Amino acid sequence: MLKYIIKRIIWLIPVLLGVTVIVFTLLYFAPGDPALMALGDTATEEALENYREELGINGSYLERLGRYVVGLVQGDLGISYKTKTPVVSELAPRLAKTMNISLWSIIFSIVVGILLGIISAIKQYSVFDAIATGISLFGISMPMFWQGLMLIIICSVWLNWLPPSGYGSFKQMIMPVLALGVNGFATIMRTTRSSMLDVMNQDYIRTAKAKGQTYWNVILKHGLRNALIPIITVIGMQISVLLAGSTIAESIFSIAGVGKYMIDSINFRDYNAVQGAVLMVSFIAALINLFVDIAYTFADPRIKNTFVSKKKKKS
Amino acid sequence: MAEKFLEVKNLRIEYRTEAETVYAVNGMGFDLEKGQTIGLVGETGAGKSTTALGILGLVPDPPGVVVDGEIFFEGEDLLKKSEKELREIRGGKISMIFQDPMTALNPVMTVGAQIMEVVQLHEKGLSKQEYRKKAEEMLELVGIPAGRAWEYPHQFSGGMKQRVVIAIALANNPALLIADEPTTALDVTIQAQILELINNLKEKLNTSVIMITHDLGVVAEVCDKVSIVYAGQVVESGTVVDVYDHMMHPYTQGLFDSIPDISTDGKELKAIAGQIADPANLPVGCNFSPRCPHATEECMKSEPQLREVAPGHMVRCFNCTKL
Ligand SMILES: Nc1ncnc2c1ncn2[C@@H]1O[C@H](COP(=O)(O)OP(=O)(O)OP(=O)(O)O)[C@@H](O)[C@H]1O
Ligand SMILES: [Mg+2]
Repeated sequence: MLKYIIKRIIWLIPVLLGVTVIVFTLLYFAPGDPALMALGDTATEEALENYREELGINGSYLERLGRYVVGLVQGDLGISYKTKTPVVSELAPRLAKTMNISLWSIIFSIVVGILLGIISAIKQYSVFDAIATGISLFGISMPMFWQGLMLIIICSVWLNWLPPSGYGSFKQMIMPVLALGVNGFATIMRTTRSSMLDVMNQDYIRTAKAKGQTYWNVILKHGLRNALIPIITVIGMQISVLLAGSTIAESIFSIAGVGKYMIDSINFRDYNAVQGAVLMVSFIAALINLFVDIAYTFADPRIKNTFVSKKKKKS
Repeated sequence: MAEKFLEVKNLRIEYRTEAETVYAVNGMGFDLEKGQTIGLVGETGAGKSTTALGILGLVPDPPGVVVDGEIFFEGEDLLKKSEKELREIRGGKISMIFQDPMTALNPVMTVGAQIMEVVQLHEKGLSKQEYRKKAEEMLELVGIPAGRAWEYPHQFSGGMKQRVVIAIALANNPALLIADEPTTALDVTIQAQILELINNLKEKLNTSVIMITHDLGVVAEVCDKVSIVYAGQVVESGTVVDVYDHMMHPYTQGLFDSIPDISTDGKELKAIAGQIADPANLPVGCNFSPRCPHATEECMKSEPQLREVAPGHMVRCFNCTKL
C-alpha cells in the first residue's frame, strides 16, 4: 500500500512537468509582446531587449523553458510583468484565500450532498426526495455565474442580509462558498442517491438485516460504505470543476484570490503571472486527485488487494 | 394443547407493483417441532424464498405485502411483533442461509468482520479479542482455515462464500435455521459436507431446520417432513415416507417422474407438461389444473382444500383418492 502511494507521488513529477511544458508553450506562442506593450512602438530595439532581459523573457524558446523549469524547481515562478515583483510572493496570499473558500465549498458539498442523498434514497418518492432532487437538478443545470449573481441580487440587493463582495468575515464567505459549492453538492447528492438506491437493493443488505442489525447501521455501515465507491470518484471530479469555478466566483464576488489574479493578469498580458497561477492550480488539482485515488483504495478492498497481492508475489 | 415450536398458518404474501400483483404465497401453512427438519420443495417461483423472508419479517416492502396469516414461533405471532423485537430474533434465534452466496456477503468487509458482526449483535459484553476468536472458530467449523478470516469475499471461491454465509447463520446457535437452497451453488462433494454440517448441528444443538430446495435427494437425506409447494401453496405434505412412497398429488408424481433414474435405463425423462403457474395470473380453481393430466371439471371451477388422507399426510386434490 505504502509502495503504491510512493509510486503515485513519484508519478506526479512527470505529470507536473508535462503540465508546465504545455502551459509554457501555449503562453509562449500567445500573441502580444509585453516589452512592446510596456514601452510603446517608439521604443528602440535595444531598449526593448533590455526590458526583456529584466523580465527574463529573452532568448529562444528552449532557453526560456529551461530557465523556467530550473526556477520552478527552486520555487521561483519568475517576475510579474506588471508589478516587477516575484510571482510567488504575489500568489501566496491569494492562494490562501482561494484555498479557504474552495475548502469550505468542498466540505459543504460533500457533507450536505451525501446527507441529502442518503435521506432521498431511503425516503424515495417522498416529498423530501422530490424537493431535494429538484434542488439538485436546478444546481446542476444553472450556470454558476448566474447562481452567483442571483445570490447577490436576492441576499444583498433585495434582502440586504449579506455583503455582496469582499473576503474576510463569515458573512462575506457565505455566498462565494454557496455559489461555488452548489454544483458539487448537486452532483454528489444525485450520485449518492442513485448509488444508495442501487446498494440498498443488494443481497448483502438483506443479509445485514437478517443478522438483526439496526436500521441506521444497515444504512451506514453496509449501505453507505458500499455506495461510497462511486461517490468518491465524483468528488474527485467535482474538485477539479470547483477549482475552475473559483475563477468565476472570485470575479463575481471581488475576492482577490488566485482565480481573479489569473483573469486580471490575462487582461494585462502578464503571462508570467498567468503561468504561475495556472501551474499552481494544476498542482493542487493533481495533488487532490492523488488523495482521491488513495481514498478510493481504502474504500474498495478489491482495488487495495490488487496492490497487496502484487507485493506478496514479489517478496 | 402443546404448542408447536413453529407454526405457519394461512400465510399470504403479494408483490404489488404498478403493472401487476404477484400472488407469491397463497395460504402457505406448515408446522415444525423442536429439532425437526422440514423440506419445502417446489419449482422455481413457487414462493419458497418469499415464505422464508416472511418468517424473518424481511419481505421487501415495497413491493411486498404480507396480506394475511399467522406465524407462531415459540407460541408468539412473529407478524405481530415490533421491528425491535424482530431484530432481536433475526440472526439470534432464527437465522437464514440465503440462496445466492455470491451476492450475500458485503464486498467491503472482511468475512471475519461479517461473522463477528452477528455475534456482537446478539452476544453482548465480550472483548474484541473474544469476538475475533469466535469468528475464526466459526470459519473453522465450516472448514475454512482461521487464517483467512480477515480477507475479503472476492478472495474466496463460490463454495467458500457459501460456507461463510453458513458460518454467519450458525454463529449464534439458532433455534431455527432457514436454509434456502444452501447447496445449489456447490459441487457434489462440498454439497455432502454442508448437509453433514447441518445434520451435525441439528443433533448437537437440537436446531430445527427449514430446508428449501428443488432437490428431492437432499430432502431424503436430511428431512423428517416434507411439504411440496406449488404456486404459493402446500399441495402435499407428510413424512418423507408418506410423500416419497405413498405420493398422492399429481404434481408430486410429476416432480418424481422428472428425476433422472439410472435404473430405468434409457427410458425418457418425463418433465411436467405445461408452464409453471404464473403467480401474477393464477388460474381459477385448482392452481395445478391446467397442467394436471387428471383434471376434471370440478378442478377448473373450485379450489381444493388440504385433506388428510392418512394420519399426518395432507393432500390438496379432489381426485387423489380416486387415482
Ligand atoms: N421483490 C419482488 N418483486 C416482485 N416480485 C417478486 C419479488 N420477489 C419475488 N417475486 C416473485 O414472487 C414469486 C415467488 O418468488 P420466490 O423467490 O419466493 O420463489 P422461489 O420459490 O424461492 O423460487 P426459486 O426456486 O427460483 O428460488 C416469483 O414469481 C417472483 O417473480
Ligand atoms: Mg428462492
